[in-house]
Amino acid sequence: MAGLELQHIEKTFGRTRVLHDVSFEVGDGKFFVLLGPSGCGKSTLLRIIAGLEPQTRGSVHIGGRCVDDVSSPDRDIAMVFQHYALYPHLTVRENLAFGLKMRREPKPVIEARIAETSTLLEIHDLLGRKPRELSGGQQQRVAMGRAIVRKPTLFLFDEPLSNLDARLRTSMRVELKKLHRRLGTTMVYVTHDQAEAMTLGHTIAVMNRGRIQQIGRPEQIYHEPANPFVAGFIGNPPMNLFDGSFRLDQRDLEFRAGDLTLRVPFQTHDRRGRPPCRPECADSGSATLGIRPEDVTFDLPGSQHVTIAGTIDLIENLGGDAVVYLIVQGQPLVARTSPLPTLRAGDSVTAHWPMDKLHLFINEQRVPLPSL
Amino acid sequence: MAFPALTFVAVFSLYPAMDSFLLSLYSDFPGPERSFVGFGHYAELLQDPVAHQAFIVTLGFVLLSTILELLMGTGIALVVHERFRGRGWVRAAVLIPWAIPTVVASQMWRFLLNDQYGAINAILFGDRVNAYIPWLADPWMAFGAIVLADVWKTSSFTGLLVLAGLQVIPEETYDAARVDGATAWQRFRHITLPLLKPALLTALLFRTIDAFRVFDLVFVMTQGGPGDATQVIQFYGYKTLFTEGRMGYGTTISVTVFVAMAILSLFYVRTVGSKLLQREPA
Repeated sequence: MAGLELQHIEKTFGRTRVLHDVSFEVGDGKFFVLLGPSGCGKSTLLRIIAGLEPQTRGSVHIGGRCVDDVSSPDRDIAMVFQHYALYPHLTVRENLAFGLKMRREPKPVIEARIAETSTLLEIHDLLGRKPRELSGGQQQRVAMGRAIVRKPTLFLFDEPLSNLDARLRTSMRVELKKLHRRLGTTMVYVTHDQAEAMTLGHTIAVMNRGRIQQIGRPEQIYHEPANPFVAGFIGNPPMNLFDGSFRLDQRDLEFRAGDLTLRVPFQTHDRRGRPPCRPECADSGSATLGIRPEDVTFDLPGSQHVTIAGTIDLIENLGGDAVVYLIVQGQPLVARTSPLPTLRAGDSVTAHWPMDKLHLFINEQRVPLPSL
Repeated sequence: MAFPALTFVAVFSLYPAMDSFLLSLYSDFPGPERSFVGFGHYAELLQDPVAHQAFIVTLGFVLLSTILELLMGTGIALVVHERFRGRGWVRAAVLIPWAIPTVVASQMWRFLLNDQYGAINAILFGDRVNAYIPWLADPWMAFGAIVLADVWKTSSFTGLLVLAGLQVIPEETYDAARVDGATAWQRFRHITLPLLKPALLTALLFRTIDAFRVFDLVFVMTQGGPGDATQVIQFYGYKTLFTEGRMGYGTTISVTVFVAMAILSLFYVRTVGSKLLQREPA
């Protein structure tokens, strides 16, 4: 087993720079998720870790050893590919054995490992079949088996569940989590699915346009998004973000976005008289204000609540809860609440949310609001 | 709806084939006085030492040229499959020999191999005219020359078929093999070759059948000579029919080649073809 460290990784294809100064560390035995929209460079980063693609600058360390000059076959890693990449001409057994054979492991060892792995993944019935005789889910298991059977120091997953249907994806997600607990091997997992990232990762790195936007535990990423991109990317439905301007007066911050005006109690200085953070030192400027749909309610207002009148545009009833699309002062606002059987589209309502659930971003950076 | 197609096949394929077969059952000289000889010509063919020799030459040509063309073609395909600057130009250039009509290519090789003014002699020996080799006058070298010309001309065709085979192997499969620890040679041996099998078999099928019917190369380059060294079966048939005017016996040779080809094709389609076209049941 081994940890992973990336130092200032850069990658350019021709003139296009796809990775900008990416650095992070993954502790031994941790489950690390690279999350981002397609084209953000996460798969390229994974291929660089695997040694399938050379980085333009920076270095990769696996288990404390610099592997920049180590070719892929010698990095002792295993990778699960998006399209499984099973060897179509080989049976499941031969697929599992392939990596061990290439490394000239003795036959009894290979047999024992195959038996062990196929039991673990419940694929022993499939050993004699060819990949094309398997369902998508079975192929997925075999692809994982092919990685596990070699007992590598590091697992790399490139969107391994994206080709499965929704139900299978959820169950495989659970299995993957169990598998990680059982094996205890370091795993790096690339996905664009925030639900996978939130449920699987010890740590999530959110990427966009070749840059790391934020690295943190899932709850950190969710509760304290570092910038509007992360705020908007995590959560379902995504966070309501209002782009507008702010002005500071003595006690409050006044935020305007179109017709929407909000006053937020805001201290420009903490108790010791220092500004709580740097970006908002200016008295006014542009800002982004965010509120998660699940923090919006239609309950009676409390003292520390933002209260805002609006009209219901559309209600999506999901059974357990409902997604309500509102128009408030000319701006769209999405709320996720428990089902509200009395409300109809077109109704006028008052939406509320706790002041401390607001997210404020100035200069694309999170500004912590003082807890109230 | 099948009627027009069937008519076409009947008029242009079936009728000539049947008529040739009938022709082979009659005595050599056409006209009202020709006589029916049944399978007499076929019996003669079985006893004909020249035909036997021609058959052996043809077999040798088929074996040697097909093997070399598959090897060369695979090599060409592997090279032009790689990404490099000017790959498009190289791909186009590789196809040039194949695009040249065989008669032209054969003529070119005849010039190149000429014993007095041939470019190959000039390159090898320069001014030492005495050392010039009459390539096409030596039985073995003439045979080699025909094989060489065919390999030169047709390798790019097999290359094209193999390239098509290479292109359907997903890049991810190679990535998986690399991560699995396979070296470049192991990837070729355990991934590329087995996955190329359908393409290689297709190329083999086309090339053997094509090589069996070789005629124009021999006609232009050697006229079957020296002696009978390069006399392939089709050329022997042509010579018998048109030079010696033995209509019946000449057609007999043609019909025999036709039947042999039909059997070979059927064999291929049954064995190789079924493997190519059919997927194993799930």
